[in-house]
Amino acid sequence: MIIDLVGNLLYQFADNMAFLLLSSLGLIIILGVLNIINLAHGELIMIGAYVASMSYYAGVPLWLCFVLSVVTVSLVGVFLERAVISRFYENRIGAMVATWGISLIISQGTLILLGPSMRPIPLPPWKFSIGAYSYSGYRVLLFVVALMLVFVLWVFLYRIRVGVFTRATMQDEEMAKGIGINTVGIGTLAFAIGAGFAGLTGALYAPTMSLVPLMGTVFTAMAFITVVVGGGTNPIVGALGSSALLAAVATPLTNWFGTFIGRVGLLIAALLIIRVMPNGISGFVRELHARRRAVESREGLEAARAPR
Amino acid sequence: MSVVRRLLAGRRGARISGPFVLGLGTALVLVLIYPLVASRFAMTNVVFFFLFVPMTLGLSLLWGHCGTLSFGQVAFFGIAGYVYAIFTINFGDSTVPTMLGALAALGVTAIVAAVFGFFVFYGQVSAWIAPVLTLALTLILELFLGQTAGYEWRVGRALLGGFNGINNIAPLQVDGIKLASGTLSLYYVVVLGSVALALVIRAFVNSRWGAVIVAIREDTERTRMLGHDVNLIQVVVFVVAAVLAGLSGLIYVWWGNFIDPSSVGMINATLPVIYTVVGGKESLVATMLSTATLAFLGDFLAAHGGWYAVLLNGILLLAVMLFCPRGIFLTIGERLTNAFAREIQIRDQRVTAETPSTRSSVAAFDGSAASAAEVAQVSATARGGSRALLEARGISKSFGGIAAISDVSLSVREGELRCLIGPNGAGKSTLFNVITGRFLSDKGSIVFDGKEISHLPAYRRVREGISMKFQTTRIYGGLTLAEHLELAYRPDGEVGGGPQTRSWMLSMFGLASHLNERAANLTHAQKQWLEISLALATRPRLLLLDEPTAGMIPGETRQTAEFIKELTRGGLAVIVVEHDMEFIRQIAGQVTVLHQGRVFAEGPLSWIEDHEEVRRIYLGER
Repeated sequence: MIIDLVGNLLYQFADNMAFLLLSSLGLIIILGVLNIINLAHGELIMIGAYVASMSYYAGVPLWLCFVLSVVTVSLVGVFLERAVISRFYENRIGAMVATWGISLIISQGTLILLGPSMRPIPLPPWKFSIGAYSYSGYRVLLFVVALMLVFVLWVFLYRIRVGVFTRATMQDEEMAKGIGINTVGIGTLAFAIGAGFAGLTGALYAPTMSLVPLMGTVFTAMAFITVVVGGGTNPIVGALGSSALLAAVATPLTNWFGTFIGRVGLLIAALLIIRVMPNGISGFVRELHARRRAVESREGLEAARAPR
Repeated sequence: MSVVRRLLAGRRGARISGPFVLGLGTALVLVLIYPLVASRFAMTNVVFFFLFVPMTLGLSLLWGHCGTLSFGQVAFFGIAGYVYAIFTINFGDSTVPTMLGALAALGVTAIVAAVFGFFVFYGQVSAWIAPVLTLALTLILELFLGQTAGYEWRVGRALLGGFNGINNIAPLQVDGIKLASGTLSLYYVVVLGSVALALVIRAFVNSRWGAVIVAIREDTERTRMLGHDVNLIQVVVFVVAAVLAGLSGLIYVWWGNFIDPSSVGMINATLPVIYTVVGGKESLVATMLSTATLAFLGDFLAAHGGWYAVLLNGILLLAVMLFCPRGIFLTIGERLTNAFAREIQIRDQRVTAETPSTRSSVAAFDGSAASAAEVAQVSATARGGSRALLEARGISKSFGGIAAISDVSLSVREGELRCLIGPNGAGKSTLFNVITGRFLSDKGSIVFDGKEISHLPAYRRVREGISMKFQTTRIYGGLTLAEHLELAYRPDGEVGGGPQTRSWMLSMFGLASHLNERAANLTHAQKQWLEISLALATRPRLLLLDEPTAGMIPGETRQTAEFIKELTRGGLAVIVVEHDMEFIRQIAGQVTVLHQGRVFAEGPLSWIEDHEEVRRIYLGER
């Protein structure tokens, strides 16, 4: 009995966290580096799902479909960033409105060109069971992939030269420019990476849901809440912390009261959290860290000053 | 009549332009006679084109004037529509229930908006949070309404109805007159009501409180430091915008007798934003005109192309943001008015040219001493003696752990002139910010005029009588000098003091002749002085000046010193942060030296200058 309940809750938690993480990771990178919110994020996810479905039915193996989605959507991202978004770096709210226009164009253009729905990819029939219930192995795979993506992002940001440049740009763009970092190029790269994550998210979820032009909105509401709670200060801490926290809020609510209450719970959680942590979890964590470091360094100083 | 004229005309002394009156008059006449020639169907359509006007006017107020973008207008539209429907289905469709239903709908909308706004604005979060969370609100509301099919989703006798929504909603009834679809009464109420609403909001925006709202958009922090409860004002504007959206929602259900989740959906959430952007978010009249025009075009397109209507909306939104960000209607309107205004401008320039140029502020400064004392007298209401005005004890403040100041105590008497010096990073600015309440101190007490204020938010301390000038000049470049001084909060509820006080303040700095000039056109020193005047306009008893002479040439520095001494003679206490020792010698006050976040030494300048340790700190010797 207990194992049924715990297994069920754990599975749902992993499922919810994977969904929040995958839908928000690309958005949070773009927020962190470019300081803008891309309202066409959901539509990039939709393109990813569509590309995966189209290539799947063209006979491409599933893993290659995913790669194709990532590449295609990254290219779309580069194009959007160069053509439109780069003109709004001084006007963040303007960037939101412009990307909102882009999202309408993409979703309605898709509706007109490709019709009201796309053939879904069949769900890989992997099953496993805990206690009395049986679960989908594919959804557990999604959770694992989500965590792997975070790791990939960490390697990029902390172990690769370009990643260090990216972090420098995030912390102080003017300074980064001053020491010769091509911040414009970093911005484009960040947008491409964010878009690539969106493409992968769409491809990964293509087997699990109906593919329609407006499917992006399923992701965006949750992605926005995750980003607000996470904050743009540190994409990794923000995305991980926020998706884990929100999944912990949503899982029991959804389990006992249904999807809608789960989502309202998320919105209310987000409102409460920004009241306490205006810069989200990652901003809060940075402050905690700095405080601890300062206390340590002061203790060090006092020890050094102490008469010998 | 003249008051009405002044309120309807724009700010900056603009006149009601010819094209504005002409256009408005023609439009009104056309609207009034239209029912004589039009069919009921055509009239019904016109109502549809205008029913979004309140919602977009609300967005223009919230975004264009107060600076907060919201995608939630359509959510409040839907909430009001649904609440009205539920109310009237349960309580009947005669006069009293429908009127109460309308009130209930607007009331619920206001409450939801107030709760939402409280969390968003009181956290003082970044500007992108409000649009993102309002969008999430809209999406979640649509999701909720879409899944309410079935008998368990009912309120009393009203079924929410899932994707089908609620049908057969009764229109508002007043004294037997139904504001139903196709009636003359609904036509006149909606069309004339929209125009009247636009004019009323325009008058509000042109009032001094409207100016404060625009000031919040331009510089939230500066406006807070003029004594305004910025968070509250933002919430109020958000609620007003929501209620206006709710009004549109009510008209929508009276007009169509139904409401469904798609009216709250993503596609509809786009409409107010597009209408406002295309019109020009800073102009209410342009927003109103673009709303009616685009609703008409959208309806036409929907009849002839279905899906293409939304696609074109997206293209239009993107194109306007890229190529005409101020809005198509506003840009056209300005071009038209400029043709008329040019002649007036030429006349104005001739008048200015006749007054002697006072650009050279050295010449303008003489004879201002007397008026300076007068201002100081006005400022310092409670004078006399040398009791402590500000008593700060044991103040500490750290940022993410770095102790900016620790255990600092500072006492300032009425009429005292105190200089705060110290090397960079000594904590001078932090101490200022803790005294003004921009940061709350971690430890310690601050007593101002016998009252503990360390827990008060910044705007309340301004009202108690503590005012500050920021380190980098922060003024509102687009406003004239006269408008600047109207912005300050005053304890008597009056904004900015009488015209006399204003002209004293400005003449003191030789700024009086620039009264109607845009602040952006001033010289650097004049901008600094303007900001000091702005700080004085709140009638402080303690004035904090953060590097008031930065970037000034020696002559200007000397004038500033003279002026500050004059202010203290009237009883005003002043704390000055400066690096310029020459300036400190000129103002000759008591000096407090901060070093590594602590008070290092305190005394008259001559003593400080002889103090070896202080010299070491400044010269960086170790």
